[in-house]
Amino acid sequence: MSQTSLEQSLSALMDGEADDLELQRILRESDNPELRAQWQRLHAARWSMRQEAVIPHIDLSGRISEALQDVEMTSSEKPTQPSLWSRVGKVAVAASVTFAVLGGARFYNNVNITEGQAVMASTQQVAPALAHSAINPVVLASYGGPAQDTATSQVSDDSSSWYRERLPAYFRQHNQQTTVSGMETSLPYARAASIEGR
Amino acid sequence: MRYSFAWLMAGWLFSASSAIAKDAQEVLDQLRDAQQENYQGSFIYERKDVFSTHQMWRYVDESGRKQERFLQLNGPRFEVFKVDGQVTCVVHPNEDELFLNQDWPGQNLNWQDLSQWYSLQWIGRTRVADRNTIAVLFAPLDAHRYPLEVHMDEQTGVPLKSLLLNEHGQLLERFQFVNYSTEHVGAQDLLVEHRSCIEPKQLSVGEPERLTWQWQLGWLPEGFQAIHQASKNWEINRKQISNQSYSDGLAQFSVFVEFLTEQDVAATRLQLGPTAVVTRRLDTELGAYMITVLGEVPAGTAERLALSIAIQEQE
Repeated sequence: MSQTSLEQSLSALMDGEADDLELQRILRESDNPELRAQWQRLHAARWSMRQEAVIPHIDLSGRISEALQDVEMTSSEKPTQPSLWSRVGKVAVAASVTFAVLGGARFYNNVNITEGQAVMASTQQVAPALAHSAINPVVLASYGGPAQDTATSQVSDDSSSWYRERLPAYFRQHNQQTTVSGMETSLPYARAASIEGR
Repeated sequence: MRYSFAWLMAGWLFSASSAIAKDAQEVLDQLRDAQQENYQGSFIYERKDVFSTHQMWRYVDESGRKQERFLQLNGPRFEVFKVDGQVTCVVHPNEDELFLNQDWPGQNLNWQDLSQWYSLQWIGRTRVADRNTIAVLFAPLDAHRYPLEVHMDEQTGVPLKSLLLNEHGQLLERFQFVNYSTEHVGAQDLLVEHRSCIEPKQLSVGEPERLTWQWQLGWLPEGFQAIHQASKNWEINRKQISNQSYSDGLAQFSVFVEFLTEQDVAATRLQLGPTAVVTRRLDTELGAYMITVLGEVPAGTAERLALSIAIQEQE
């Protein structure tokens, strides 16, 4: 296993895209100081992209080693033919190792994020007027909870009709005037389309 | 994402070197100069609670007339046809919707100053829609704009992918071509069913009377400039609306101000994917006004802008 492919696996793990095989490789090499340094660098890079001033130092290798020791103890204590239950146990331990890595990574990546928020950022609040007409689409699990309807309970007719009339027109107008630094892009159209017919 | 992240790493490692940043600017300038005239492709657009698929065609005929057609492929049929940047036809499920054509040419702003508000970072060579692309990251230097990652086609300079992130590095919106071709684009692709067209209203029709009031921004984040020389007045159902848009070259927000005749319109705040919307009711001696700030800027910035707006009587 070359250092480069290990580092690629590590990068994949950070992006939540590592498969089981890659995870095992990383765990096997968890004492490799170069790999651990790379893990820290990856986090530092990601941190700098978010322009955070403080880079906390989190090293999960202790927890991973503990979890792995448990695996070894289980197997050394019972050298006999593995039963179905021991296999279940191993799966559980393996899962706990995965959890130590991914859970830690998750904590690291979402320090300022409360539970429940996921890939797509920003809470979607629904305008008082739009709340009545909007059809909430199916929400994928990884995209966080369904749109929260934060509309006030008593919405006057004036408010409703004003928002229903103005917001789509304002949104369209805003997007029609959008230019991205002279580049030809369909992005403003796509943004405008995202509110049409909803 | 795994390889693009590796490139981001490289970008981060080299970001300290201004020479690399300069190269990225040069690449961007070159790509902008090399805009492709004819192309077609399909792309996805994704933001919180929205995932949509689209097809687009762009064709410039012999006389230099630029025609564009955009078609939403899922959900309600939504289609936009543009000639030389002007919307000429919209197909929409609700035929009563108001659409305005765009006939407000913006000022020819100089975006060379972009590097004052963003640190331009070279990410690397990537691949999008089976095309070789060049990826750069515009990392904002203050809290009033979002980071933007753009992947541009190496041959034509057309942005084939763009990711808008928030201040925590979370994805706000993804725009990404699935396929892209510069071949076999012809006038026949631009045909829209004109029977179902909503013709956009001309902004100049029914010239609004001169307003008896004007508004001013008390605060503008550094780098943002007004797109039009003066704020524009237009009408929705005989209500006069004053509007101006501001841009720093990448991020943009619009301000809309209206004299309020409805009694009971409450202020609100919304977040539609990357777009923050802040409304504020302003009661003055002249009457009540509704201020709306809408744009792809952080909500705090939009809020501060809305709070800074003052109304004055026009002499």
